[in-house]
Amino acid sequence: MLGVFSAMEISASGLTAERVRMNTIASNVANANTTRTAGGGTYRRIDPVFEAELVRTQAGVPDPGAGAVGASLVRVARIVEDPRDGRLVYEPGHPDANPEGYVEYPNVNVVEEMVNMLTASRAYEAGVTSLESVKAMAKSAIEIGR
Amino acid sequence: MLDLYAGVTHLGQALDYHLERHNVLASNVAHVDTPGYHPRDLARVEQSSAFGEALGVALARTDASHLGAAGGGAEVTGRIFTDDSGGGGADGNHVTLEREAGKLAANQLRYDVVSALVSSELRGLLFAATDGKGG
Repeated sequence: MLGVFSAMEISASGLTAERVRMNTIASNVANANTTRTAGGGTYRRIDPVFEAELVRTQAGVPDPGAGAVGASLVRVARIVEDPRDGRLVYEPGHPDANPEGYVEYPNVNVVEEMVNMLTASRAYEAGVTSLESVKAMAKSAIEIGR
Repeated sequence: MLDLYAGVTHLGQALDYHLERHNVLASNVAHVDTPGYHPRDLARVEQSSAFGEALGVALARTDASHLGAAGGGAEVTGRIFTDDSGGGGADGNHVTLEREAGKLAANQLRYDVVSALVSSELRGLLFAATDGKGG
């Protein structure tokens, strides 16, 4: 059955995905000047890749009702690194400077991250609103015939 | 003999089930930061009445040798199962806050629906008991 409760599950998956995006943005902003990572080298900004996933029933099989209308959950497929180059800053005294005296700083643009943060937080709010309105619809359905 | 409260009894069991499930889901939310925690959920295992079937909260009879469901005042029992479909974090915790919140809200709505049915059932009885003057 694809009904009220599938819609709530779909909204919830969207909220989770946006929260993951928020985490990556926080990581990018926090590491905007990080020149050392566990993998070696400068920090590279990360982005989540979202993918659609069919709504599943409690038994774990794809919900036929959901497939018929194409309703899908969203999930984070993977986290990818941004391939763009970092900015080079001439700082000969920096311990991570290359032989020419340049330090490669992360390819994080704080303004870009702020914009992403706004869209993530608005998308989260939109998800909450859709969840709330699904709840309101179900509540008013109970009122029918009272 | 026709039981006056037959309908209400079955609906009462549905209310019990949803209350119990609420407790299980609330416990998942409480463990949102517990490393290695796997969220649990409560599945309804016994089809006790046609009401349950209509509400979509009961499981179907899968074998002919299962006890008949109709008319029996059998206790509704839930089965606890682990629901890891939300995906796990690096600490082995599989709780997804939004998913649990959504489940809680859906469960509450189901409770509200059943509760509205109970009220209407009881109003019907009151109407009959007061010769059509009350309710």
